[in-house]
Amino acid sequence: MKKTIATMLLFVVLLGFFLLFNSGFRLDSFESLFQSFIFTLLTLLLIFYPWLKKVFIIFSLILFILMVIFFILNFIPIANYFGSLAFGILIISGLFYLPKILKKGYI
Amino acid sequence: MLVIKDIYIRKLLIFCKGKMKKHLKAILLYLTITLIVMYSWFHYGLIYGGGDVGLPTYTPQRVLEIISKPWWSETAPGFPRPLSLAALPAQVFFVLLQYIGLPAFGIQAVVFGILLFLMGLNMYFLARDFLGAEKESIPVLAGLYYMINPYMMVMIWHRFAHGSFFLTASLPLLLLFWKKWIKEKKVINLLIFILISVTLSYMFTTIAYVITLWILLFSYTFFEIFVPWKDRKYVFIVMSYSVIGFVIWLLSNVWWILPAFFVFPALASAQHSVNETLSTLIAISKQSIIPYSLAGLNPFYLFYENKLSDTYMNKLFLFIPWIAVTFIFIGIFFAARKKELFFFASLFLLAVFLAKGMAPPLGYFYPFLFEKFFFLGLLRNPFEKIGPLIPLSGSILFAIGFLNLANFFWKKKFLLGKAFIILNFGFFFGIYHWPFWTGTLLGTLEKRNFVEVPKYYQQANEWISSQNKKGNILHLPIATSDSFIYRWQYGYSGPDPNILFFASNPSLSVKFGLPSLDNALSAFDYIDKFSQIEDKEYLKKLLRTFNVRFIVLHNDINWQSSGVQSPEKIGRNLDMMPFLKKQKEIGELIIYEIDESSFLDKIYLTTSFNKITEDQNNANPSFGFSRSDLLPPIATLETPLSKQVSEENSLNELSQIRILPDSPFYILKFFKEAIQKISYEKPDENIYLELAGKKLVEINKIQDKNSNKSISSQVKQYMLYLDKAVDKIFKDGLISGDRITSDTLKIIFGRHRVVLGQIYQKAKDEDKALVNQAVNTLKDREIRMNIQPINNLKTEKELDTYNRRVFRFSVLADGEYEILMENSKVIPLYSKNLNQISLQIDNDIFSRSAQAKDNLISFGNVFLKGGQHEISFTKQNSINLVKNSQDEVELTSGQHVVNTYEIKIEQLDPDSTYILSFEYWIKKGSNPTVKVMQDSDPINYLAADMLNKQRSPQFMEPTRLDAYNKYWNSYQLYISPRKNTSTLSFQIISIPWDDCKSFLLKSWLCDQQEVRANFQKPSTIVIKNINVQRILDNKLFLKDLGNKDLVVVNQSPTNVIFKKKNPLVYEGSFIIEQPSNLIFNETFNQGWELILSKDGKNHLSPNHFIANMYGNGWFLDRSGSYHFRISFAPQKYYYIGLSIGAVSLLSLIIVCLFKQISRRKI
Repeated sequence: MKKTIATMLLFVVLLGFFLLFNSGFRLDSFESLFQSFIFTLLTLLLIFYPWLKKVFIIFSLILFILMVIFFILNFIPIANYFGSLAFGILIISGLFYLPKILKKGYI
Repeated sequence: MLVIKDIYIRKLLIFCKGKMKKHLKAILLYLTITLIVMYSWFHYGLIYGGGDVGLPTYTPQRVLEIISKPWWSETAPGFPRPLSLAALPAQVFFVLLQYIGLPAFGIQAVVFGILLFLMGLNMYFLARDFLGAEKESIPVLAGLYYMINPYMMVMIWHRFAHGSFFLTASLPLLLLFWKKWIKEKKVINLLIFILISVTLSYMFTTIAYVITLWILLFSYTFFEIFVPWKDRKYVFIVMSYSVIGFVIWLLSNVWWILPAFFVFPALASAQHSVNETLSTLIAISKQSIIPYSLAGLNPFYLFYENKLSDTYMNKLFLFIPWIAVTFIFIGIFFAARKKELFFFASLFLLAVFLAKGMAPPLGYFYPFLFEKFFFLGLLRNPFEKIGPLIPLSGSILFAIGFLNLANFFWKKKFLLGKAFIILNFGFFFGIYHWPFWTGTLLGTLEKRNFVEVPKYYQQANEWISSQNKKGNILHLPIATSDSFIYRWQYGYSGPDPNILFFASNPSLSVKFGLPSLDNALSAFDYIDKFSQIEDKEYLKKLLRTFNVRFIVLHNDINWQSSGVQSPEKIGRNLDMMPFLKKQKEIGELIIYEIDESSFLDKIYLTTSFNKITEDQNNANPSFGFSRSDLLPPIATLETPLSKQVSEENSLNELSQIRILPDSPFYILKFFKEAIQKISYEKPDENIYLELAGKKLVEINKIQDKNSNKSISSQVKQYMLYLDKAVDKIFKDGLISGDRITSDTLKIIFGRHRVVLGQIYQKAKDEDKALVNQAVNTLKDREIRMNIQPINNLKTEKELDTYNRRVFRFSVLADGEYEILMENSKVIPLYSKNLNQISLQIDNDIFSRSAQAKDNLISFGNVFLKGGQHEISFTKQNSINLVKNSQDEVELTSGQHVVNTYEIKIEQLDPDSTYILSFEYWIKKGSNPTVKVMQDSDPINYLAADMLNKQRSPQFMEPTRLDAYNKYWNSYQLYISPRKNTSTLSFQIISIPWDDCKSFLLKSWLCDQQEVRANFQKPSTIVIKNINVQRILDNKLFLKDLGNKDLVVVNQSPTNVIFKKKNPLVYEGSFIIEQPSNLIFNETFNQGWELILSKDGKNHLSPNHFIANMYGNGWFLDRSGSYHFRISFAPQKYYYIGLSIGAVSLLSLIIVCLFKQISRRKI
């Protein structure tokens, strides 16, 4: 029970954090809200299952490939959506390598 | 001694030879590229110029003279530019090249060549240091990528900002020696770091690059400390060395930092508001979204403007940059596994993250930072300012990725893979960057930014210099900003270069982006309208106020594109002024000289001066100087054409609420409001205004639910929100000049007014006083924002509350005042010649008759008491200005050509608004198009087809096509012509019918005229009731008729004997017999100090004020004989900074030598 409450609290705090930095707490853009929600979920998952970071990085690379395809096809808003999602996931997943980086100096 | 010296030189040569041999491959590669590129760019023998920088290498000696001071008196009337001091070392080098005898283009070629070469070589050294000597090919390729990549091509070379050339050339080496300093801890490394930074300090002319540099260096320091974590002792050591390095960097650069520190913050806050900075950031961030910033692409130049050709829109060209990004990602994969290289992987991600600005993901920390730290506003274009870190970190990653993949294919002997690598190399470095190789990146594909300054500029300068007279040179027409477009052989578009061409006297030719100064200078925008008879004294006064001696009229200016007055018209006016003598015509320049008796020197004594304040001058700058006997309004208000706020709907049009205070969920509302308050607000949003509106809705709902419930706390809360909302409106700069810029805000406050009235009606007696207070508070704030007049508008006689123009005056003393309106020429345009026009003066309504007087319209006198007063009239339309208007005109186009009906406006007043209205019937074919033609329409003089010059009209739009009504439709257009227009005509155009695109699937074929022609058919339209009317919106002024204190005494100013001791110090003496003002006609700045000496005692004069709207004045209250010294105080900081810088550099050299000697002894 305690763990569930802690997880819920953590989710709210993380969502607040991502909403603040991803959309300035503005709730008028669905894309931005969805992105903040994804980032929150992902961070939460990584906190509990750190081994997922490699999976997420691969996922972000796939999203980058989608971004390039849409960019070449001149669908810039879609490319931007995939690109920013990919970049965010890459950064968040990368941050979970920090303990290893601080310890060894590389990944 | 000589022997020792000889040994050292020999050792140095051997050392260099050894080093050279090691790096020969790289040096040769970069040198070859540099030579090829420089030949390609400069073999025409012409310099490149314009853009943001102008012509810095055209006359280096002159530039050096100008920039060697924090205050540029050469750009009259003077302006502080402390940051340009940072360009001094580079400029000295340019001068050396000039002394060697290199022509201007040669200097530019050498400078660009050196910088390009350094970019490659420095990156090579950086990569080599990180990778070690055994992997030679990676540093070589990293250097190549750093020289040639999309970011460098567009954002550095094409953008043509010289500061970024120097930054990108020096960054790798600065990082290298910073790394060596904090790791090896040798003073020699710090010394080299400082020397590079000082030598290439040109980069800091863009102050934001200081932040870029230190983001890079502190990132490395942070990395060194934490990756991997060692121990606290190590943290302490690295931090100590970093702090020492930073402090010594500060001390050695203090010669430009100190003057900038004392001048720049005040200047920056006067020029930019937080709101403006945020608006720029938001706009720019749309161009730096991840798909662009990751690849280092600038969509504005590459895709929106197609500056480097539309080839870059091609799918192949859209793909090529991703080849490099792919290699960079492969590089990240390899770099992340190596301790030494991990820094570049993380720096690349950090650089992209910061350079993308507010774009997603997680970009909203920027506005928070900008609001909290004003100086960070310097980074309002992060892609340009932090962007150089993308290629810096990307170069090494690219090289690692590329060569690792290449090695893989070569080892596996995979032929397709090898072909892929070679092909990609060629595509990326060759084909994609072809503008870099051919030089078309400096300008556009059609037109490079070549500049060839006409010879007559030199001749004009020589003639003015030979006159050896004091005073400013006024260049006309004066620029609307700081740049001009000239019709020279190759054209020129950029910062005004006259300051470089005319070396003997200061040049007054541009505006400065400082509202108060620009407002004063805009008086010159009216020169073409000055009448020879009525305004000659005013023009003389204006020229004297700005210390003008010569006027240079530039007939070679592209006045339409520059948005200035026609030189021809200015010339006609100047020719007729008796105090001006046309001295010389040289090429396209005409030089006038003001006669000796009319010239007023820079420093003089007077008992009176122009007292017009900046606020008053907003009304009309020319009046500020020319009609100082008139009192301009302090604010102008306009009421809407019709009712905009509905009594019935106002409540519903405010933001609605669902939860009332008695609800258990009301607490959630506080939570929501708290979130709203911390959430980001766009510059045009105002959360407190929304909350104030919601509070009104809440009060209304409470009253409806329970009329006995007290609403006092809610009303108090409303007033609190209202105050915060108004404060934000002022902070956001929405009250521009003398009026509010947003009509939406006017409507919102109107709704508040209506709803408050409804609340008052329903309020309990004990709440009524508070609601009334809220009503008064709202009215008071509306008056403060110039939304509401002080006096209620009456609806008597012809007056209505709508379509009204209200002028608010601040009258200093009781007395008789004459009401005057500008521009008497318009009288015959109005019915009854403006007789019996109704004016509301405060709360009274009068009928007044118009009488032409001195180019003004007099509406008689009125007695006013000291304080604020308002005069208003209804804006009426003139009689129809269209002569010979026929009843109906049928207009049929040809099958392939248009047919035009033209309506010319005679005696145009460009400061007016006109209405064009007519009815039209489309008999067949296309709907008519309306076009406004003006002589000020920009023309592209360099267009290939000189007969069909490309003109850009201010307005050209087809009329609305009514799908339902196929018979008569009406059309109305309001237009305010450009300020520099003198002839205007409306064109109603019948265009051939064309349904090409609805027939052809390949619609792009319709862009070809020969294809389109097959689908064209004639159109016929009929027009009737053509009306062109002028709106009576002239400004009102007051003239004091009796108060002698306010009437300006036309006492001649007394010239003062003074000497310019050095560019920023003036010394002289004078005798005054009564209290007087010492006027110094240089732009007002707190840095200007007056030291007076009387009876051997010196004292600083405290009574410093703005005189003549822009200059400096000091009030001297005691008579006597004085010696004075006027100097620009921040100049001393420059000298102090130079001394500190020299001492710290010298100390560092001594410490370094000492260390070297002691090491040798050991």
